[in-house]
Amino acid sequence: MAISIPERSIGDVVILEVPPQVMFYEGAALLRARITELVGTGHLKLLLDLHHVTHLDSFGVGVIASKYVSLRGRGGHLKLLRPSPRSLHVLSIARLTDILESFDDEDEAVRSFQSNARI
Amino acid sequence: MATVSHDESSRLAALRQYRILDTEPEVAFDDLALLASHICETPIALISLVDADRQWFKAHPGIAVTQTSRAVSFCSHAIEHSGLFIVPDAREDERFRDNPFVAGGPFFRFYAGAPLLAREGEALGTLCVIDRVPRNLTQGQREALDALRRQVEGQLELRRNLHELRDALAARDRAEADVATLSGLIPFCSTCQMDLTIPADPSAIPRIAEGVTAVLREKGWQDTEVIAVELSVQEAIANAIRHGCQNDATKHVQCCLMVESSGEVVIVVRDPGTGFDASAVPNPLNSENLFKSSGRGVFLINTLMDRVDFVDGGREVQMRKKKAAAS
Repeated sequence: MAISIPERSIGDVVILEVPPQVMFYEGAALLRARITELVGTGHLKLLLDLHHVTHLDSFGVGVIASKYVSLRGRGGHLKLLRPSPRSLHVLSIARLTDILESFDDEDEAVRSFQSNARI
Repeated sequence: MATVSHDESSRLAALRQYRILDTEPEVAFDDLALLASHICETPIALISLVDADRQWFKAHPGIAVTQTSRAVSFCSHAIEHSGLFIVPDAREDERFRDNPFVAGGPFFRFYAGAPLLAREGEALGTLCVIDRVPRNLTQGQREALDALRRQVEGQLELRRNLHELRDALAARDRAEADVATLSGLIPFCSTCQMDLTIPADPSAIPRIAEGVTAVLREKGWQDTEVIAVELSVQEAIANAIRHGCQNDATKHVQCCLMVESSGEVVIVVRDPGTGFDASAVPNPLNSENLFKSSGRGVFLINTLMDRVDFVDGGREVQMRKKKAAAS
């Protein structure tokens, strides 16, 4: 059965609810492709909801890192919502926790994009 | 000149699956062509396979040639049609009147060809009957030719199935040989608490990781350390599958785990690939690599484990970690 990534929008922020299997092995290629599509259609405020993701591996980290920099290059933002401690640990080893904004609260995360817009 | 199908590449790919071109004559095909010739009362019948630039005859009673150029092929036209393709008088048909087989010897006048379909639906060639006088087929002859066409397709499928079965058996033999080779390469596994040879299929990764986790928890390891080892194992096996086996599930990866008396865990992951130079892997923490999409697997393993050695040209990674002292 094909995996899909549920998504919804709050204002101009698109929230991608990442299923756990998308972050397994090379499944994150699906996330990469979807983010590329979103950016291509002008969606530059993306929030990855990782609360379902228990196991983040290096491939998934690579997709997040490369898409973060791709969005920043276009004036957009990629942020994380509710990553597990384990996912944060992997991101911290990759030295990305200092750069990637991460939130436990969705409203706060969405508001943070508006702050970015005012800067 | 015969027209060429828009799906020609997939049609030719289907034809290759049957591995029949340029094979020796076979009685089963010769008999079916002969029956077609007798039933349709024609001097010639062919089982013709239409290749990229030629038609080749698996059976050809009534004519000595075994292949012709596709440019002069009636069958090349026939495979463009569904159902029986009939040319009652080629001299009266502008598509064929200048064909050298019509204008000159062997002076074909009548042609009826039933397309032979592959299981994918592609037309491979025809069972056809040919006469040197203009004529047509009775309804009974048409039905019989169609029935014989089904028999030829059945023979083709049987042949393809046999090839596929032979391939599958050969792949199994190769996989078993791989397993035997891998098992012999890690000789110290008599002390292993886990020694598994798995197909290079990512779905096996969680099974191995769970096995490692279970062993370490049984030995009283703390959660953070268990996670570190589990992550390292996942990364090492993923690398072995992705790079060592090129995602080829017929290949195998060996993974063994030993817990030494000192409390140190040793995990070895080995693949049958060409290896790599671990020292040449760029540091993902360097600013120019920080946002790259790949290159973190080896770094994660090096960070999470106490000692990591890549041996045998990178085909084998040996990872060690000591159990933390109880707090």
